[in-house]
Amino acid sequence: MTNATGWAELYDGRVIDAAFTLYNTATFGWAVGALLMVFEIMLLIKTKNPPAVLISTLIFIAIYIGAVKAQVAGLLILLALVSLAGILYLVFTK
Amino acid sequence: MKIAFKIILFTFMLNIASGILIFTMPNLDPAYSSILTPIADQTQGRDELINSLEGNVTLPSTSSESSNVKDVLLDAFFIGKIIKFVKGIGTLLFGFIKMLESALLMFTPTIGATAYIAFLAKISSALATILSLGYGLGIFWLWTGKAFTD
Repeated sequence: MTNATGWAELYDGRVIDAAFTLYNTATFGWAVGALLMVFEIMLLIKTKNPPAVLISTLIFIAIYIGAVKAQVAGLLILLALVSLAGILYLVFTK
Repeated sequence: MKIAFKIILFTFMLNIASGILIFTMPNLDPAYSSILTPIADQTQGRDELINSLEGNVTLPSTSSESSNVKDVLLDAFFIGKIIKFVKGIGTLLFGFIKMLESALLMFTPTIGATAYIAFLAKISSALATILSLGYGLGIFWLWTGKAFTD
């Protein structure tokens, strides 16, 4: 079964991959970057714990950098750069 | 004022982080690795001298009898190293703005690209002015121990 909106992954029982395929197809893949930033901001508001947010951003980018579309990969690499710099800043100043 | 020093420190960390990312992702597309290029590139200084003279420079010949290799080449290296050092400091002080600009260049539209790039240049020059004011206030604070704004 080949369907662009992630039904194949959903029938295999891989829910996270299905959602990722859905958002990677929608709006030329920009939904992944936008949703990542929205979720990180929500996590920051909820937990008020910047290192956790930065590390979770890095983990997400390390998992999905090979799967996202090319134009979103630049944005994700920038986010990885800023979050890694933020972690180093927190390590060396706090 | 204090935020200017924080920006300097954050720019140092951005430089280290870009180095780490380039080492950890060697197969990166050149379009993205150009965003992340760290400050130090491995040249001995002669290229910097020639680039600062806007290229197409023939240095004096080192093979004729009256010329001295030390005078010609080592002077070029030395002046080039000074130019490189000053450029490196400029990149560290204003590299945050350069990174913002090159990051926003990713989103250049296909229609009206020149207007977008001119707009980015205006914004980055305005940010550079604000940051240099902050650095000025910070240097005043370091020199005298008094803050303009408390």
